[in-house]
Amino acid sequence: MQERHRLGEEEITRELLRPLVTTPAMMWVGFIGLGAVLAIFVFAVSWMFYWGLGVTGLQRPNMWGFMIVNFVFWIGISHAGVMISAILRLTQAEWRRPVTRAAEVMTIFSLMTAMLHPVIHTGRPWRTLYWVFPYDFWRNLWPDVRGPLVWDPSAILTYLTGSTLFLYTTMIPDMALARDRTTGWRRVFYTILALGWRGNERQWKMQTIAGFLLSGLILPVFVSVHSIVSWDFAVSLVPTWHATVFAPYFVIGAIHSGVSAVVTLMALMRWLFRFENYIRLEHFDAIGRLLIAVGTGWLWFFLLDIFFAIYPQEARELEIMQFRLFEWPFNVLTALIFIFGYFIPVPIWVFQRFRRNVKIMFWTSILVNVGMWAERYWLIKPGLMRKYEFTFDWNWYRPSIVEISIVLGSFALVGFLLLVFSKIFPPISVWEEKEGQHFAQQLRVGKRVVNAIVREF
Amino acid sequence: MATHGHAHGHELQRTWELAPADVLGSALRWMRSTAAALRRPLVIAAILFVIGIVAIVAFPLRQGFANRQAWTYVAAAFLYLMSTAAAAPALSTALRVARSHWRRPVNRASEIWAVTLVIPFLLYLLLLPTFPGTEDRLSVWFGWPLSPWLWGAILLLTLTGAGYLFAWFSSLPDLAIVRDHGEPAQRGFAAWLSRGWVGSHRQWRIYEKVVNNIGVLYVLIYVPVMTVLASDFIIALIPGYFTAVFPAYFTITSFQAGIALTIVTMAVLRRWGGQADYLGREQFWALGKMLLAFSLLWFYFWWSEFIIFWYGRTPREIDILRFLMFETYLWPFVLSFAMNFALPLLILMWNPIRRSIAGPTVVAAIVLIGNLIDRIRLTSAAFSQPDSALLGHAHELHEVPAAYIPGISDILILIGMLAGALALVLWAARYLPFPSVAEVVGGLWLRAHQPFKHARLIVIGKTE
Amino acid sequence: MAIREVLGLYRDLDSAVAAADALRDAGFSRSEFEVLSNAPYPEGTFGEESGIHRLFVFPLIGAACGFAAGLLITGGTQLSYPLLTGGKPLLSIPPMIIIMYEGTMLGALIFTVLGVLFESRLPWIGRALYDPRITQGYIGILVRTAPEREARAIEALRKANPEDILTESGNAGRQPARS
Repeated sequence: MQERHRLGEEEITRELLRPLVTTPAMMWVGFIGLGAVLAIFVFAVSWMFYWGLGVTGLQRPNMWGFMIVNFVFWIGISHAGVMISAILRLTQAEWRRPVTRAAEVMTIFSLMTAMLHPVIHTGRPWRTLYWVFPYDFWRNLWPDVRGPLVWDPSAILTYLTGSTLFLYTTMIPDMALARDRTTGWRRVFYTILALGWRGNERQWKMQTIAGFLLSGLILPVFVSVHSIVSWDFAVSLVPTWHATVFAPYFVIGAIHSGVSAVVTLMALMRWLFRFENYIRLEHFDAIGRLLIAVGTGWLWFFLLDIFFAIYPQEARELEIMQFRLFEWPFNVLTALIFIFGYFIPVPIWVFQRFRRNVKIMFWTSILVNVGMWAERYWLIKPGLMRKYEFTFDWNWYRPSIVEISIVLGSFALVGFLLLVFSKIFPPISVWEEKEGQHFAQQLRVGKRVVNAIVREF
Repeated sequence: MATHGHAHGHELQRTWELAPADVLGSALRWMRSTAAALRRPLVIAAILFVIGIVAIVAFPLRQGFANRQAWTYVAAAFLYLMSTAAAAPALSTALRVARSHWRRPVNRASEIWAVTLVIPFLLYLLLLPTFPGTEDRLSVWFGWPLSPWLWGAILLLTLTGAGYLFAWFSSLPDLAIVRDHGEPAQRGFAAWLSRGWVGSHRQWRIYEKVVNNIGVLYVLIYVPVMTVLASDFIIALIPGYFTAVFPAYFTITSFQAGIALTIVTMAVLRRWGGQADYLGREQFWALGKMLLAFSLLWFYFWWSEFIIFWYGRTPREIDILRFLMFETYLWPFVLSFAMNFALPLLILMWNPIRRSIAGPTVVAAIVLIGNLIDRIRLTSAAFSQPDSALLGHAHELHEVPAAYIPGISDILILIGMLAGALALVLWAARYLPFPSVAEVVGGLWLRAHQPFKHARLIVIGKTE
Repeated sequence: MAIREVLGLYRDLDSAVAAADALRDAGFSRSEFEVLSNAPYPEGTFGEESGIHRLFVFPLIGAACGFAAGLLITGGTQLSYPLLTGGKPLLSIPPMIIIMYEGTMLGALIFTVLGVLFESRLPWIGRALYDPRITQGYIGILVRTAPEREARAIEALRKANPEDILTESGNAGRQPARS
């Protein structure tokens, strides 16, 4: 049932700009707590740079471990922004309004965090920069454009650039709002970002068209990014990695984990910033229904991957699948993935009264992401551990404290950046909320008054 | 043209300014005129269907089930019907669940295709004996006893039942209208189908809840069925074809064909069925966008498989690429690529074309032909392998057979089975009114065109 | 010819629309006034607007540029170092397609944003009448006209019960805000 609160303009502005002017106590707790974990992250990375990759658990054949799993996970989370923002804009779904900006911001920060991982994974990232820039051949070094490790940066940089430009373009009207309500250096800051926005009809028309056009352009990019990341694994000949289904499987998994992360973010924003008037129960209801479809799609691809890994009945693949499904610790992870990723959350989401319960939505979304992180690990590691034919080449992978710190620190990094963002820019798009109010109507059907929306086409 | 008023360059479709009496009147006109108008096409389709059956009996059936290649075009017809007619009701479900405001005149145009499910089901039963058991060959049944026969038949039967249930239940209120106001010849059957329906408040509440659930159930059965069919009919019959994405490719491209079939049906209804007031630019534009999206997905799922095989470059994978795409079946593949992806993209990427009636219709027709060529390509490749090439859990395509060229009997079988499906739809159209009164009138309450200062806008009610 | 600006501020939509009607009745064409607001209204709310835009050209140009850049980078790299890797041909089309596709999309995205900014006439560093109350929720009707018609514009704006009327020379002791 669509709840409708008619809010005054000033009330909307004041409430949505509140995070910029006040800092709730829990926000300080967030800054300090996340900052502390972030410091540990920085220390761990520095330690690794200083002492070399030997401080990690990486060793032949486990050349990729926690850092790459985490890379894939954060790329996955980054798909939330486009899913919510672009698709809901294109379908003109009203419930996107309070969610789009936070989702887009989470996209950008998780992408940046993800990009960090392959770079620090090289152990001496300054050398990577030296090799890559400038893009020339006089050092007899050239990127192998035929390989997915070059496709990766082209896709991720395109997605990052596109998302950032998308976010910024749709933020300009709110920069003008902030410009008009601040003084001093803040006013200068927002004035520069507002680019002289005045809010005339031409500018608003361009905003509306930009929303559609950029959404339509960024959707194919979003599909390609995680597909290309999946091809880092799938184009190789490592058994259980070399599967044709990886591209759509990773993409749908990314949507599943990303949209769940948006639910987590929505619940946190509602609680931290007291946005009950904007992030309403109907939004959790709608996103929960979306998650049922996405989660079920993800389960289908997951089962396709398992079935068709076993189907060829090839000894090496069968051996790794046996390891994955029945041996410690991957048997536990398998159960975790099924149960946390699907069989707890989705049956809960089927019931509207649970979808409209913020606490339940929050905890189920966390469960999904625990399951999805485990799924990434489950996908990547067994194939590597038993990559070679001879058993003397098999090796366990035991992540070191450095890698664990990096993984935990990445969560702190994204959280910290989100908090910083919400101190500087409104986390909910003010102008879109006001547009929603302008477009709200009512229809009378007999004795019932039905909430309605204006559509231009 | 069925438009009334403008909203800054976008026409406001007249559909939503009609009164319920107008909609009922259109439906009753349909009931009065359909029987006569459809008689000739129905007879022609039925004759072609009978010819198709005779061709099946005279050719593949006479050769027996041991020669699987003789059944190629029976399988192609089966897979094509599953990809188009069986997929169309899934589109209807998606539109219902998404609560799109323009969907209401479209639902019946997709759901009516569910009445054809008996034909692919019977074809499936006929094809089952051509498959060897799975004990000694690779299959997703992993040697499970009586597979694929018993379990496949159960799956198909379940899908067929769910499809008929969906078609019946969604039409229930309108069947009551036929019962009460239809022509005498129509009333009896409609009365039997709609007995007990009086349109009480309680019945409507149940109807609204259940119709979506049945649709979702249909889709939840359809996807595993297509997964199993893709595995049994294609993957398991081509030794060395190890691909996990192909079932997904098969299912998604079927959704694309289902959308295309719905669009073509809408165009026919609009042009010859007097539905211009209901099936307008709004519906064609929206489905045109979906068709473009699914055409891009066609490419995406094909590419996912191709890039892995191309990059991996194992001899087995190269053989598969040569067999299915670049040598043996090169021309069907090129045509399929062009008609399922390249042409839809090049045509529908332009918004003025998407926002027309002809644009999406032409592309939909192209996609339907492209999908047929694709299914023929896959079936011809899969059914050209003898059992000996599969037994012993074969891992390689040792012998690449020549492309299968259809004979006149194959063409008659294909045309006959498609004509049979069409005949069933034409027959069902005698009992199902267009437009769907329940859907469209239900939508009239929730949509209005209202002035907003100097603009005239669409206002869409959201009941939940 | 000098242009004079007059800005009327209105508390709600009805009075703003009434002001637009009054201006039209007073002989002002639609292109002589524009509406400033803090959120978009459905197009046509204030009567048909003039002004065409060519935004759709930008993504096409950007896509072409990106496509060319992708082709140059991939083709150029492979031709500069003609080393076979993994048995793939020297000019391998499938990987080239991937990077060219990303380049095309990147070009289209960047040029679209540039186009949006260009068509919105941003960044705007000119001087025009503006008032911060617009972002608060007031609707501004900004008239740009010849000096001799300024008075008629003010009179028309007054008919719709404005919150305030600002001119370039100020208004009742208030200084107009410039942006």
